[in-house]
Amino acid sequence: MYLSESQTGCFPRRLASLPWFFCLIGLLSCLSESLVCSASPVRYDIRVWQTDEGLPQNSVHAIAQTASGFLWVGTREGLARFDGVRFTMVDDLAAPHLKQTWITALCAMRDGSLWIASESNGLTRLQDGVFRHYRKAEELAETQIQCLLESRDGGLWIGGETGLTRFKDGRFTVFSGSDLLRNNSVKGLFEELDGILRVATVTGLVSVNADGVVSTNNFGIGPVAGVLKSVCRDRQGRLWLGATDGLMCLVNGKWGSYAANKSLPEKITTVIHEDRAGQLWIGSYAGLSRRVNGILSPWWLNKAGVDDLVNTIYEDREQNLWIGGRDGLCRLSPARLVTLTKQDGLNANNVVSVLEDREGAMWFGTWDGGLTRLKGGQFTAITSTNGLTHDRVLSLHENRDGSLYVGMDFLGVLNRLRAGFSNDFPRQSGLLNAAIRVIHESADGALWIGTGKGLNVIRNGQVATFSAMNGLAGNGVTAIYEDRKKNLWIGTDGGLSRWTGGGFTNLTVKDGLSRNYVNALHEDSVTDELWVGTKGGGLNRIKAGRITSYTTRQGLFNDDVYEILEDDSGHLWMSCRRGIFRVSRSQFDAFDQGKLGRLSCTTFGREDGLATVQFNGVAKPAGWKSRDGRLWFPTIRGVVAVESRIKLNELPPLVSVEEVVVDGQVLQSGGLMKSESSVLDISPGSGRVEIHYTALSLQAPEKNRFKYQMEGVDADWVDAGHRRVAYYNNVVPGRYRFRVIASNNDGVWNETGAQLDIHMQPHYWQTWWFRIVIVVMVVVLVGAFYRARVARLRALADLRIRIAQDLHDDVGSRLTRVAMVTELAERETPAGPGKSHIQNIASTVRDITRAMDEIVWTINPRNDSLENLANYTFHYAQEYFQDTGVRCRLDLPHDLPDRRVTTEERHNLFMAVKEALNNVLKHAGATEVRIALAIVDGRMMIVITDNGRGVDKGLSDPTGDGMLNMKQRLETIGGKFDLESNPSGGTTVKMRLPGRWSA
Amino acid sequence: MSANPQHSKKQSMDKPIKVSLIEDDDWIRDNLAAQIAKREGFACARCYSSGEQALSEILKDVPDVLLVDINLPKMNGIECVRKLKTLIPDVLILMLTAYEDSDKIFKSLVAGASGYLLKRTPQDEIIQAIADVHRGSSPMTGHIARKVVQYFHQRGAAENEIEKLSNREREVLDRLAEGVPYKEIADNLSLSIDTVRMHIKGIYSKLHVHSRGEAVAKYLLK
Repeated sequence: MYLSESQTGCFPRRLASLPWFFCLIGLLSCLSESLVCSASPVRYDIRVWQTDEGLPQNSVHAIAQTASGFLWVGTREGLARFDGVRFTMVDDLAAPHLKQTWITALCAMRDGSLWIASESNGLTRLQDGVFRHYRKAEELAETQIQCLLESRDGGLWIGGETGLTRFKDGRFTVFSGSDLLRNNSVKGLFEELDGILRVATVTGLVSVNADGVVSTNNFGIGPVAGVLKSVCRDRQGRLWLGATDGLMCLVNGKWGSYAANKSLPEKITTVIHEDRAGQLWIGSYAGLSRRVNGILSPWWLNKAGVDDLVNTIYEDREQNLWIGGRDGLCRLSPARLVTLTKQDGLNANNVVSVLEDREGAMWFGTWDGGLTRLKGGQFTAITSTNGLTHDRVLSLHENRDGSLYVGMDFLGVLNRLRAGFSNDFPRQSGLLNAAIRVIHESADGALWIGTGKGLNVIRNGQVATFSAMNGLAGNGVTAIYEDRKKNLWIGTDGGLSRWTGGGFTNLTVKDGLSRNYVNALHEDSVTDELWVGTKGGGLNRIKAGRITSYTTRQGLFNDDVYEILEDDSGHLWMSCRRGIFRVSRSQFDAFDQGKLGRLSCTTFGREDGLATVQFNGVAKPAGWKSRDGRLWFPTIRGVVAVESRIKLNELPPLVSVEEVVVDGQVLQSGGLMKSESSVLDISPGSGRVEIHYTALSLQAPEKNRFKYQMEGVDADWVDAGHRRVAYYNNVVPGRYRFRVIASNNDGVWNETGAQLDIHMQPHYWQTWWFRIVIVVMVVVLVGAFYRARVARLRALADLRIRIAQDLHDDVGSRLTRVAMVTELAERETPAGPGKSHIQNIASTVRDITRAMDEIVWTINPRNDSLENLANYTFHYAQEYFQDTGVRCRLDLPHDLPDRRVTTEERHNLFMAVKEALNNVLKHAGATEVRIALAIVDGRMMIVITDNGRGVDKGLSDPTGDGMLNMKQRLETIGGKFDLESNPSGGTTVKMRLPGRWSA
Repeated sequence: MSANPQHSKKQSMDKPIKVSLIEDDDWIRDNLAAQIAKREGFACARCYSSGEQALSEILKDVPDVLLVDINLPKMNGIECVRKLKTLIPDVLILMLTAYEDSDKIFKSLVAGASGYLLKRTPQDEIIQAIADVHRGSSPMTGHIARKVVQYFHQRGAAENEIEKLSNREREVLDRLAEGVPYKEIADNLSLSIDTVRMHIKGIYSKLHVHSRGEAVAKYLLK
């Protein structure tokens, strides 16, 4: 809830009688003469926070802002940390005693630490995220602490129920030696510039000098009827004392007393505070008073819908005032805008035009409410009841003779008010019957009346009419402007026209205007450039005949410009349907020269106290710069006065990473983070990471902007707008740095911002060492397996070699011997039956030897190569067909692939070839056989061709067993067996070896 | 081997072919020696039971033809052949083998042997083979021929011209490798059988030249 409050510094008369229920609805602007006072005191907007917005409890007793920028709010039920948007309860395991207890006092030290006094529970110090609790046992005699004050020397004064204590250099010193302080309840503390401490106690004022000497010097105040609650010396040297029976002030050695009167709403004073601007604020049981320009005047908090009891007043680094009361936390921030509405005295809220006349009176034209004149705080209504033809006012213009022209809606009656508000509306014949949107008296005395249907010019009593028919750019006239060179410009809905004396020259889209619909005209105060606001086309600048346009694309806040005003510090102010915005003139030049990539507008909307952002641009003047420098703009809900000399917030906000939430679990709380440089470890497998951050600009936190970047994830800064959280999903494990920067409500960026190092821990299987271990293990395992297998195969091979060797050496040589003996016997045996037996033995032995030869060849793994297979097979064939009458021809490449053929394959192939050769010799009746080994289409083939009878005759293998055998042998080793007849007779046996081959 | 056919023939007419044996099997050795000694025109000079023994004693009684068991204990037959040929380049060596182990056979041929005999070969054929080799003929079977082809193929252009096979030799060798008998080769190439044999001898000698250089180098280095 926003409330705008104007201070009633000069004249508080009206306020008390206004109907306060309006406060509860929303915005309320109180008006006083101060609006037109030239040296008006600062106005404030009020914003209230209560439990429904996160305040732990509505009774706020202590407020302090630590160096980190956070505001700490002590309530009756605990302590909260506040960033302007969100309250975070202090709920720390290290300080359970702070939970839901009455926080009586807070003191933010210059070293960044925070002292917290809680009811009956001593003191707690929060430093670098660590709580330390000081109780009675630890030298702290006092447990019921009521006030805290940091002295200029960095010590802490502690005032409590039983006296005064000082904490310095880690030690507590009790100042109870004097009767004045013993068992005396200390309510307030103030340190003078010379180091003397003024102590407000229940029995009177006590002073402690720099040497710790307690004195009774109470400036002759004498006995105080009530209890002293607070003490303060202002910069003019007045000493102020707040007591239960009133406010006292010591000026030039004389005491004066403010009894409860209209300027002091209640005599029980609770707190006295002088702000940095020199304003004195006095809190009491019934409200807040401000003393400014020597005048003490009440400030009614209850207009903000809250109870008036004030417990504490605190001024933050941005000069916002924070008031802790019984009904919540209030912020008084310097108001930039004041809105006058019907409640303040306007006839109607829908204000369409505004001007200040030569007497300093403000005039407001309202639609359906006539005119309102404001002068000296007095609102005067001029309506159809006292002079106007009707109440639907559009345009206003003050004539050189001091009369006021009032252009009306509908049939466009022109009214003229003279002194005493007498209306002699000129009923000139020839005037257009149309709404009069703009009136202008030119330097030559002619009256120009812009209507929705054209332009009337009254010169020397003669009326001329111009429209699109006779040269005007458009029929709907929206603006008339006479520049310093007396050029008369007419803005229309069809372009911009310039009066040439007898006609018009027109500028339209064809000439470079961004839009034809012109809304506003303004001549630059420095150059003779003309600024042209359009409807939908932003702003145009006409400079020596050249038109440049600026729209939202170039950074303009809005493309509709209702009115253009220029303040004294070189800014153009424009109103539109979304609020008002301000651009420095120099920005346009910088933009044109390419020094600036984009215009940046300072905008003012609801966050700044506007009740509506819908400004009015239907009639002129739709804006006015009054002599006090304020800029006035009409809106549909009153007229807005802008402090054009408003002090912008130039303090870059402190930025803080608040907390990190991983998969819904809060990992780390930012404000209490232990150490800045620590790295936040996020456990493996975390999916959604939320990083909450905040900016500590408390003036209008809703306008703070943020940009963040997770280095390593975001390629560039992410513009988060007003969002205070960044989301990341499934970030790859690794180390990251999260950085966030923020701007305050006026776009001042803290480019350093805050940062947080994050270590997304990998799953153990995502770590490099794990991967290495796995690779090594796999290598080792494969190696071991391979070695074992190789060893086994080698053992097997060795065994086979040994068997082959044994067969060869042992059995072989014996067989050789047998063969020889048999041969010997054969030779020496005479012919007869015995001889044929011996011959039989001899040939059998030779056969066995040959068979042994084959077996030895087969089982010896040294022969496991294609070359060996081919050689052996071919040799066998040659020998086999020797002396058989069958010619054997061999055909194999010189070089065979150096490839291993396993023993099994070798054996099966050899046996198959043997079978095939056997078939050729036994069954084919061939005279020639050709054995070829060749690679065909990547397959190794053994092709045996004979010129015998062929397979069709069914004679090459009568039983078919041999063929089946060969087929099986080839299939066993994954090869293929084919048998076909040649066209020219004979048979071709094709044996395909397994696998792919290349020559 | 510098076997001159004329010289060998003359020798065979004049005096018996002196044959020595290196064979570790006592029975076979003795039996084979006895058989050779019995034959007319043959004399069995010495029998050695190991390559080492032969190497140390061979110079005392240099034979015309030496039969070497391919599978000798310790120093194997091939190594033995290589060393013997270095020692006595002129000696003719026939390998004795129980099996058609083409690798070993070929290696011994390269080492300097002029042929091989299967132990199961009937004795008449053994005697004939000894006579043949002594006469200057070198039998070559198809699968050995193929090895020889590969051998020269691999050596290729690395060798100098003299050591390369002549075109005729290559033709003969290729046909041998295809399993074509000598007679057919002679017919095909319009040569006499003797010419074919001469080519084969030429092939052998080039085979030996290749190996001898290596062998000498190896032997001297040891």
